[in-house]
Amino acid sequence: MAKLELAGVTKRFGSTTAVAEIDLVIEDNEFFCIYGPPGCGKTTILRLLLGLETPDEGEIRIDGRTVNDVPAPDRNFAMVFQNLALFPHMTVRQNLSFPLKERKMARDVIERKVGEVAETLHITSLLDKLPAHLSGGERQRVAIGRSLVRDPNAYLMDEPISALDARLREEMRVELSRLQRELNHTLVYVTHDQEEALSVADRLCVMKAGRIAQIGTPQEIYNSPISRYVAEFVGSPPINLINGTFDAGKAEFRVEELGVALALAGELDQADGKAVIGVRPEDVIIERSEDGISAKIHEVEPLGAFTIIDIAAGEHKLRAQIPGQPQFELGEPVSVRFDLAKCHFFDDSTGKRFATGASLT
Amino acid sequence: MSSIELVGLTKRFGDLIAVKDLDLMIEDKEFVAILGPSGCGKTTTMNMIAGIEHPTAGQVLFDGVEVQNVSARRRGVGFVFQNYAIFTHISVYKNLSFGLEVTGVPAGEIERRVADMAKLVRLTHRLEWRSSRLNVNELQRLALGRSAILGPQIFLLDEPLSNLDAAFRAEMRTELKHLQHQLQQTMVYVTHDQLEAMSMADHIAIMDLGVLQQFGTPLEVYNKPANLFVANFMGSPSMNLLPCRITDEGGEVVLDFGAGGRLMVEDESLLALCKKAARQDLVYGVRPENVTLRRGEKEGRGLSLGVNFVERIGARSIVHLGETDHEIKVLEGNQSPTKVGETLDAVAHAGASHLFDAQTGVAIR
Repeated sequence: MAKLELAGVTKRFGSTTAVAEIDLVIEDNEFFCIYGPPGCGKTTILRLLLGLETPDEGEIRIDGRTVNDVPAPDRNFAMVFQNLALFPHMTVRQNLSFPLKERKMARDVIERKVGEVAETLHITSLLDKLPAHLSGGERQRVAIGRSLVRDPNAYLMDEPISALDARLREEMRVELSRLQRELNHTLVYVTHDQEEALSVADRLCVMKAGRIAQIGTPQEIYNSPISRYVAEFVGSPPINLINGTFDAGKAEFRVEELGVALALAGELDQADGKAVIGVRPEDVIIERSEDGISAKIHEVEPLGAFTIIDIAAGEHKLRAQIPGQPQFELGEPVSVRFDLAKCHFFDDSTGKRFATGASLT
Repeated sequence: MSSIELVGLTKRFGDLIAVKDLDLMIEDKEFVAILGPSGCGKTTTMNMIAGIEHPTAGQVLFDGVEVQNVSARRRGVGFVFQNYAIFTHISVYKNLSFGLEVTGVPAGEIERRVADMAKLVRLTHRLEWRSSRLNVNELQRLALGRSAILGPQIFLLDEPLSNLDAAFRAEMRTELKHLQHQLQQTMVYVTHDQLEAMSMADHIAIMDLGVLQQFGTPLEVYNKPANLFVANFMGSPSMNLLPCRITDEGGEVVLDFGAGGRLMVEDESLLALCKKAARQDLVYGVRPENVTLRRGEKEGRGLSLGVNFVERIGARSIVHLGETDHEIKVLEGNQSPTKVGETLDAVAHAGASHLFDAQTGVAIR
C-alpha cells in the first residue's frame, strides 16, 4: 500500500531522452495505467519506479519519501513482466512459494498464503502441475500469483496479458480489476492496448514520445481529450478528423466542400485559421434523408453487437459505429449528421482542443 | 477460377485426431474464415488445402478435381503466414518482383505488375526502400503483396494479423477485405479472433476439437449459434450463459436459475423454445447488448441483480451484475448512468433469448 510519485523526472540513454519532465502522482490503492505506443517511454517509467533505472533529473517518492538512492530490492514492489518468467522445473506450488522461501517465512505461513492466492486466482487445481502443462492463461495467472504472495508496496505490471488470445484477455482484465479491488493495493499497469487501459484503470496516463499527453479517468480521457493526439490515440475505431477553418469573429467552424457550418459555444480563445473537427464514430448518424451531408456507403462490417460503416462524403472518408445490425447496401446514397454536442475542435498546428460542442448556424 | 471442397477430411497424428470428418464447401471468390481456439484443427485443415499435410482420409477438391495427390507447389496456392517471411536485405521492389522473375515473366510485364501491386498494397512510395526499414504494418502489406502478385487462384492466410497491435489490426481488417474484393481470389483465412472473422468473412467455419461446429455467414453464426460452443465463442463481450431448470408453476413457465433467481417467461419466442425443450436442464443465453437494465420496475419482469463492476471502454460500458457463477454482463453506452452497488432489473429484449440443452449443448430451435 503506497502512494507513488514522480516529480520532474527525466531519463536519458546516451543522446536519446526516454522520458522527460514526468510529473505523476499515483494514489494509494489506485489502479493506474500507463498507456502509449511502443517506444513512448512507458516501460522506462516502470523501471524508474522499480529502481532498475536511476533518473537523470527529478525525484521518485514512495509515500512522500524520496527513494532515488534506494536499491530495487528494498523498494518492495512486486513485478509481473511481459514474458512470464516461471521456473519450468518447479510445480505451480513451488513457483508460488519461491519468493516467500527467499524471505525465510515459516512453512505454515507459506502454505496458507499460497493457498489463499491460488484460491483467488482459481488455480488451486493446478498447484501440483509443471508450467509446461499449463495453458497460456493459466501460466499468466501463476505469474501474477507469484507476485501476489508477497505483501508488496505496490504491484507493477508490464503488459501482463498482452500475449493471451482475445477471449482470455477479456476475462483476465475483469479478473485483474476484481483482484485489485479485493487486494486493496496500488497497481501500476503498463499497456499499449487501449481497451485494456480503459477497462481496468481508475485513472490512466496517455504518453507521447516520452512525455505525458494527458492524465485522467477513462471517461475524462475519452470524452474530453486535451489534444488531437489523445483523441486519435484513444478510441477504436478511431475518431473521424476533418480539416476546416475557424472564423473567430463569428465563432464559426466551416468545412466548405461538405457544406458544414457550425456555431461554437462558449468563450473561445482561438484565432482565425485552420482547425480540425473530431467526431467519434458512434456520434456519426446515418439517415436516409436529404438533410445532412450527402454521402455513399463504402463498406459495412457487421460485428454483431454493433456495425461499423465506412462512408464516403466527397473526398472525405468517415467511419460510423451503429448499435445493432442495420442493413445498408454498398454504394447506397445516405445522409450524414453528427451528434454536435460531442464534437471536438482542435487547432490545426498545435493540436490543442479549443472547443467541444456546436450547433448548426 | 477456384472453388474448394473438403469431403470427409480427416487427419490423425498418431492417436490424436486433429481434424475429424470435415465437410466444407468454399465457393469461388469467397472469403471464408476458419475460426477456433488453438488446437481446434484450423491450421491442420489449411495445411491440407495447401498440400503441406496429407489427409489420413477424405478428399480435397479444387473446382471438383481431387488434389490430395498434387504436390503443394503445383496447387497454385498463395500463402501468407503469421511471421511474414520477407527478404529484409533486399528492396521492397525486389521482394515483389522476385516470384515473377523465378517463373520467367518478361521484364516489361514484371515492372507493370509490381507497380500495380505496390499501388494496391499502398507501398508505391516505399519501392526503393530496403525492406528492413518498413514498419510492421508495411511488412504485413508487403507479405500480402508478394503472394498476391503471383495471381494464385486460392489464397491461404494463417493468422496474418496476430503480430500486429490492436490499432493496426483494425486497419488491416478493412484493407484485407478491400484487397480481396479487388483481387477476386478465393480466400481462406485461419484465425482465433472472432472479430477478424466477423468483420471480413463471407462465411465462417467454426471448429472445436477437430470438429466443424457451424458454417454460416457472420450474422448467422452470431444470431443463431448452433450450440453452446459457438454461442460462447462468437461475440465480445461474450454471450451470457446461465444454467437453469425449466418448471411449470400453475400453468406458467418459469426458468429457475438457482441462486441467480427465477424468471417467469413472458416473451413469446422464448416460451416457444421452452415448449420444445426435451429435458428440464437447460442453459439460457442472451447477448449483453440484448439486455436492458431498468430502475424501479415491478418484480417479475426480469432478474433483479446487484452491480459489481462497470468497465468504461470509450463508446461502450460493460456492466457486470449478479453473484459469482451467475454473473451476467450488460452492454451500455458511453453515458451509462449505472453505478457499482445499485440493484437493477435485467430484462432481456423480446426475441433475443437462446436456449440450449445442458447435456448436449445443442441449441433448441
